[in-house]
Amino acid sequence: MTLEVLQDELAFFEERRPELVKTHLGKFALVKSRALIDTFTTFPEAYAKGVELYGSEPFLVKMILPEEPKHAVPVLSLHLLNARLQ
Amino acid sequence: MRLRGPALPVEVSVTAGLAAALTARSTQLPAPQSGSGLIDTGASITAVDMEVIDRLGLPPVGTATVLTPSGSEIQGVYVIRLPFPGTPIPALDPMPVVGSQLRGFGHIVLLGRDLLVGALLIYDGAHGHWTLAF
Repeated sequence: MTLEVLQDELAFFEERRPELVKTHLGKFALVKSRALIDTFTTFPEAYAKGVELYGSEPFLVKMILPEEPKHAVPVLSLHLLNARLQ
Repeated sequence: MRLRGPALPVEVSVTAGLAAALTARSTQLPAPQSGSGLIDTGASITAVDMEVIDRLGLPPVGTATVLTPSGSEIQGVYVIRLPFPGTPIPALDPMPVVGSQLRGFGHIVLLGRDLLVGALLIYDGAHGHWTLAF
């Protein structure tokens, strides 16, 4: 299942991000289609509600932050997994 | 250990919550996927092979921005249940992970610092063993 299934949810979240940062910074937003269902203190709480409401249908859980955190997995991005000197 | 790295058996499956929802709808549960997980202290987030994610039929629940040498790329975030068969480590459920291409490297999971945040990891290269304690 590609990320396109979350197209509406992601667009909605980005539109609302500035407002949500002011009111719910650090919380987890549960978004379905173009609607904010609720906000939660923890990821497991938001995920559990999403599964309860939508089962295996796509829904978005996103931490409300001013900008996206950047993650690093250097072994993959630098193609170093199982690298050996010849 | 130098070539294989600190690896342990893992099993990737749908979360207990999703399993209950699928069962309530009389939908057959996908079979858990077994393999090896490599502890990677360089990774800020745990990654699971996309082939495994696809076999489980998991929908994405978000996105993560992952740094690359040329900038960054967007990867899908999925939620799994992650037990460690044959070890006393408690299963992680629900565990958000990024989907990545790992197949062919001998591991189906890269265990990142989001998992290690509550753990003590000792890597004893001189004696060829490692310890992970929670």
